[in-house]
Amino acid sequence: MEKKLKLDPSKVEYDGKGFRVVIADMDAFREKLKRLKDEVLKDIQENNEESSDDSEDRRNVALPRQESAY
Amino acid sequence: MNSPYALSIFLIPAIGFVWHHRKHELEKRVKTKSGLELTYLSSVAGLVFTSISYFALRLINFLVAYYGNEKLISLKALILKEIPDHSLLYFLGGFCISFLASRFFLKTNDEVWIGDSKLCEIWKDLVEGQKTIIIFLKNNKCYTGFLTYAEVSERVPLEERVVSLIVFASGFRAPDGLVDWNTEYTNEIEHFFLMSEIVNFSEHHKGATFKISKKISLKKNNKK
Repeated sequence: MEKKLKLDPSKVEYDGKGFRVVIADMDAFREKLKRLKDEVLKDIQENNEESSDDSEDRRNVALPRQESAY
Repeated sequence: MNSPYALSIFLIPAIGFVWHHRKHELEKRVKTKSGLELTYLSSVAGLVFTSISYFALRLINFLVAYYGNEKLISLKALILKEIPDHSLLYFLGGFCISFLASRFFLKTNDEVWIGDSKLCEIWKDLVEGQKTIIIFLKNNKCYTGFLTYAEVSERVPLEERVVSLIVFASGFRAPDGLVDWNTEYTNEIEHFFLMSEIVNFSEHHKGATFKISKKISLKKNNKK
């Protein structure tokens, strides 16, 4: 059954087809993006180091490839 | 000439459709209304606006006849002379009232959206929360990144709906579930994925890289 649901217009907007994140301050957004990315990559690196303790699993000691696109 | 009352079967829903079309445009509605529902609602709205038009024009007619001077009465006669059937005016008035009412009384509400799917709510919460998510595709590739857009409208066919991420890293999931994160993305560009290709998705959390440390799993097994 259809229902009315709340939306925070300062964070998200509905453009008629989907939900898009609202970026009020581009600089702050870039900093946040960088921080989130660093957290994720650090997390992956830590997990890689734990997994590499097993001698049978020699994959992914580091992230070898850096690509700017696919 | 056929009476326009016979055309009312088409004109009344059309009058109501002017109102409902505007309402539908302004509402943040994920699920579109069915044709039957729209026809029914348009007919009801059309009846209301046509009735308002009827009574308003009858009132104007009475006031002109009762209080109007000769000039006003002759002006009214001149206008009505050009119209073959005066009942057309009621429908024309209905269109005008419907159009004006939809422009004056209907406003967009940025704080409300209308949906009935739990999946839409989940995507909305992830976008609103400005989350990092991990998506797994049918081809066993997986991507982690910042979620920027999720298409949820039922007007878009399922096979064409997209999700976009600013990708941080990608990898490959082996059949045993272990993920091999092997590529870092350095540019902040949006990557679009078809929803139909996504097998599952999750919010990123510290430790949720889907890599199992063999040491830890052995310890858990030994506790038995």
